Amino acid sequence: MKHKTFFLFSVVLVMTLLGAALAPQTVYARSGGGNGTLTASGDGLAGIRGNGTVTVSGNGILWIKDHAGDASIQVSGSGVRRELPNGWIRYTGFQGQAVVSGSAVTVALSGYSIELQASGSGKFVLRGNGTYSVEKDGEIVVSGVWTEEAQVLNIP
Amino acid sequence: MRRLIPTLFLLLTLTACARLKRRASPPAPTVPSPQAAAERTPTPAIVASTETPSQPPASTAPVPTPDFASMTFAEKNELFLQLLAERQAAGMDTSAAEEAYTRSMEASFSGDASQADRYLEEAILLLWNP
Repeated sequence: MKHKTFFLFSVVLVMTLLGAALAPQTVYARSGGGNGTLTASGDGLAGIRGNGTVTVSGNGILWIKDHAGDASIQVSGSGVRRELPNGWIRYTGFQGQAVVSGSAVTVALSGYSIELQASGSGKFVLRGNGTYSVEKDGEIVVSGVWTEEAQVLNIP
Repeated sequence: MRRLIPTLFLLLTLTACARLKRRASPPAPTVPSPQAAAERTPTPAIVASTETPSQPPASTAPVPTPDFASMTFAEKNELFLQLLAERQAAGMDTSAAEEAYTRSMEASFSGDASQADRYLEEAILLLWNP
């Protein structure tokens, strides 16, 4: 009886461990205090919302939103600028670079040859084809690829 | 001995099941020779007609739309940007499509990919049928 119980317990334990090891892993960034640095490059949509400094370059449509009213926005290159009623600043036909800093900003670039670097804390979304990594305290803590889904990740 | 009988019974049952399954499954397809395959290759039938085909009026002809189901997000995104550039170069008002595209971007930020895709497709169609 004792042996049977031990055998059953072992089987359950092995199955649980196997299940945990083989289950599909979702690449979600670990939530933390922020102040990591996100680096991403690819084609599709790259966007970030939070506190810090964002540098983004590429071709397509650029959106910037200053939620707190304290942002510093520097845009170079070409594109048709338009301020939308809901607070967005949109550059259509954008080709260049934008550097945006603030306590609550959203920056998104949709198009191709996108290069994005962001330091601070917040959330980001990367859809399409590309790669990204997040560095914190001198080491890469998260890395992955842009996905078809709209996965919203946190800068750890 | 007590364990041997059930084991043998199980083994026999499994063997019988396997045989029945094999019998029930259709025979494996034979690989035709290239000559036989060539003989079977259908040739398009040419239908002779003395009637003049009636041409539907141009306005009722269905306008083909992009096959969104077979496209990835990056492909749809690229198509939108290409159409936008073309329409803007032609002097068309693209503001409605750009609004839909902004909603798509906002939905992506909310993590709602299906809603984002719907807005993106709407934006494309607004440019597709000007």
